Amino acid sequence: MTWWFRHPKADLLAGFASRALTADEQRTVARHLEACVRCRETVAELRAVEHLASNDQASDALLERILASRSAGGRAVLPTEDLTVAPRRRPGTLVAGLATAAALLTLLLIRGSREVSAGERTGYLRLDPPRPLPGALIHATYTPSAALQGFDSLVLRARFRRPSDEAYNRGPMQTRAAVLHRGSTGAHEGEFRLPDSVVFAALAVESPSGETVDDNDERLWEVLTADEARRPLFEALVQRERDLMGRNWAEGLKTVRTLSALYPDEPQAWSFLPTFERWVLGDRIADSLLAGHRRRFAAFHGRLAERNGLSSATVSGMLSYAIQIDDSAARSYWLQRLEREFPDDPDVLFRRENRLWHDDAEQKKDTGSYFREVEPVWARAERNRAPALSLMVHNALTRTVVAKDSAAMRLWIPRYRRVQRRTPDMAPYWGKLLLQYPTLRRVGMEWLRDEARLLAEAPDAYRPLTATTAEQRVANRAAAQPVLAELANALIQDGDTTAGLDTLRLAASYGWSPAVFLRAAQTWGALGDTVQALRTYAKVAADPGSAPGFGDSIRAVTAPQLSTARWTSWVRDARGEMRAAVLEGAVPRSLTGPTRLLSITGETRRLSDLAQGHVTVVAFWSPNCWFSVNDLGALQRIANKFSASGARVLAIVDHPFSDELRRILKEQHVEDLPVFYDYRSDTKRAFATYSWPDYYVLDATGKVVFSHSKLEAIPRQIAALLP
Amino acid sequence: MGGSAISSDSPVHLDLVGRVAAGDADALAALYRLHGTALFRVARRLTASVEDAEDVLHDLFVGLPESMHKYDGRGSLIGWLKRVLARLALMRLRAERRRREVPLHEEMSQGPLGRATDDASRLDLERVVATLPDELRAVLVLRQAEGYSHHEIGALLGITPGASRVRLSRAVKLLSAALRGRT
Repeated sequence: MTWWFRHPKADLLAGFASRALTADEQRTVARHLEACVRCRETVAELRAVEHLASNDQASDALLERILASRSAGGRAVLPTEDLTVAPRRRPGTLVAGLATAAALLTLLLIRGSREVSAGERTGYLRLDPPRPLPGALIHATYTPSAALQGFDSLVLRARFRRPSDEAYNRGPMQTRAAVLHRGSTGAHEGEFRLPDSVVFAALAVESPSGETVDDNDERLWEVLTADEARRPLFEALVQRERDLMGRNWAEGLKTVRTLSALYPDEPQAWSFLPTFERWVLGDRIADSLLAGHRRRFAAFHGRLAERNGLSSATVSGMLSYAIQIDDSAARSYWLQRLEREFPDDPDVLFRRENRLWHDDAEQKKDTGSYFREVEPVWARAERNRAPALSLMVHNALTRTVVAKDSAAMRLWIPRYRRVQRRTPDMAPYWGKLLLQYPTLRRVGMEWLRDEARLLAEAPDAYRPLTATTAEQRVANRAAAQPVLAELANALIQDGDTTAGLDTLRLAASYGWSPAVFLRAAQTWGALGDTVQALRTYAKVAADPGSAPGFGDSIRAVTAPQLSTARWTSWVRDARGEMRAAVLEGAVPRSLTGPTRLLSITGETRRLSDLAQGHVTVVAFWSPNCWFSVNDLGALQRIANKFSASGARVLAIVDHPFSDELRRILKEQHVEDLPVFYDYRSDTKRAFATYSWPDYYVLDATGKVVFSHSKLEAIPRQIAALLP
Repeated sequence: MGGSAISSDSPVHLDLVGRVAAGDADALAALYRLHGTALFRVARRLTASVEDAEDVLHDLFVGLPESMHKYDGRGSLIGWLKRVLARLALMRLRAERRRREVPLHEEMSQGPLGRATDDASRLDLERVVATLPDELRAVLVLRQAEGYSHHEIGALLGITPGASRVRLSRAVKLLSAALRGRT
């Protein structure tokens, strides 16, 4: 036997350790072990593996949890089917094979067709090559989630990002990348070619109609383009960071860390870090990291300041880094250099526009100088297709509003609409504003009509990767309501009462919106139709977000002769209508995995225990997110309003309790709000939430019924779930 | 929780299967007391996490009454339960692997081997096994601690027996390297 002269294979040592060899093999290995200390140690280690966890016990607490789950209706389909070992076509399919098996074994909570659990939602998407060159052909293999298993073909949707794309994911950015067809293995396969200019893509898989979406628990799948050495491209990482903006800050930090690690000689790569560290890790840690950044910047400065012929990216990166570490002298040096050496750099043009804006705002120059002087800056920026165009045009348009300069508005509105990503949320604001100017009224109406048309047509490019077509329909209708309300108002003001009322009725039919109802009621009242006005006011009064006493005041002013019984009946009917409308948007799902939380007094609690038996609002917030801190007061008011009904608000924070956190709670006057620290981040994972603020409403059994709720919708959602 | 007073081949044990399938909560609790600890240890070894092991065992027992009829009585009940549990644990590992913050670029991360080697002198076996890649730890545990054949492991993981052998070999090498700082 050759083993005498060399070490036995690991499998034989493992077999020897577990006494699974034939007698001959056992003897041969034993002879080797007599002389080989190294292999004896390996055998001893392998035998020790047998005793791993041998003192562990299954706990009574776990049994109680199991029985509680069963009695609460929890059910699961177990992976009991036999698996066959399929021959592997190529090494890369190993992971897909495991995923196929795993998908077959997917745990299904069987509680009704509209419910989804994490296991039901998520399949497995493999992309080959995983780090493609730009323009590469990509083969996609998708092992479907349980919810998508019944389809012969599926759609792979993508959000392609190019180097000039801005942060956040608003507007028509989504496209259909490929159709995946079910193959003989049960997995769905297809191909798509990355457009040459694309450096990053986020992906989701959905049914052909888009009614069922697998978005990888809202994380999406990704394509990060790379160079020949498989190193992700600088621009690919920048676009990933921009795509994650607002949806996963922690992943954003990881991305910019990777950027600085892979491109350590690029100041621009480092310049992103201080901001993300402050946002994600908090001031204390960010402050402690600042000294390192200053040392690194000093080294860059020492190396680069005397060199000529630097690229605009390097000079611009040094400027950004100097700003981030708050070094005013260095900032001044690199800004002058950027302006001198690269006068057409987008950063230079944007800064020039900013200076003009501030001069105008501080009235350093005569009124109108901004509009005169910004013209050549704009012309150069537009010619260069500078990424900051949308910011510049926004600044300019706001200056036209401040100056009440309708001529300037007429000039800048088409520019705004040309370069801004089209998002319906801005149309009601600008439309309403333009309608105030007689000479711009037609332009405002056109803008509103265009947006209403867009929302009615609902191009799929606007649908986020995470949204089903049904969800997008609801979102489009909600977005159309204020647009139609403004349009209706303008039509009525212009004397076209019939068209205005039709438009208003259409807006009101698009979902429960107290703001639209109020506008409609006021219009009916102004037209003298008191009954219609009061019935519509009753809807406003029925909404739990309305001020107490609103209904009585309205009734007293509008129709004091109306009987209380009739009014009460209208409000009751409206409550029923509201409840039905709100529940129509419910997508119940069960939470999976642990949800451990730490109370402010240091007790460990589980969300399931805290929420059991109560309608519960779960509010994710962070002291680093001003928006989420700003909402705390409103959450406290919601908690107060519904405390007598048994509903609760739990504020889940991502930072440990500290004096700073307590100070914030005190400043916001929310010291009575139950705040819990998600100390293992598993509550965040259970909800699949990665940004703040993010609100969920759970029913009394602990199921998540409403996800990503708007703050103003929460009272309605609570009311709809209360008995 | 202590051991069981019911032996696995007793008539009581056989009766349990039927009662669990009928949705009897007491029977489910009895089955848990009978096999819970053994199953928990398998889950703990596979997942290297008490929390994950508890969740896997939870899911197994929550689903058992509706799936009990799939047990045809030909093999031992505990063997069947372990196979189902192992599949659940592997599903969880796969899901967790997707959830985990995977480094964007291989060169960015120091793999388990690197970390383990650095700390070899103070790492105990449990920690080293926990740092093994999931797919290697699964094979190591199923083979060494649970005594599955490579054919059975292959069926569980969806790989060939040969691939299972290769993974075991890699696991053993990593284990030795981590414990004794050699490669």
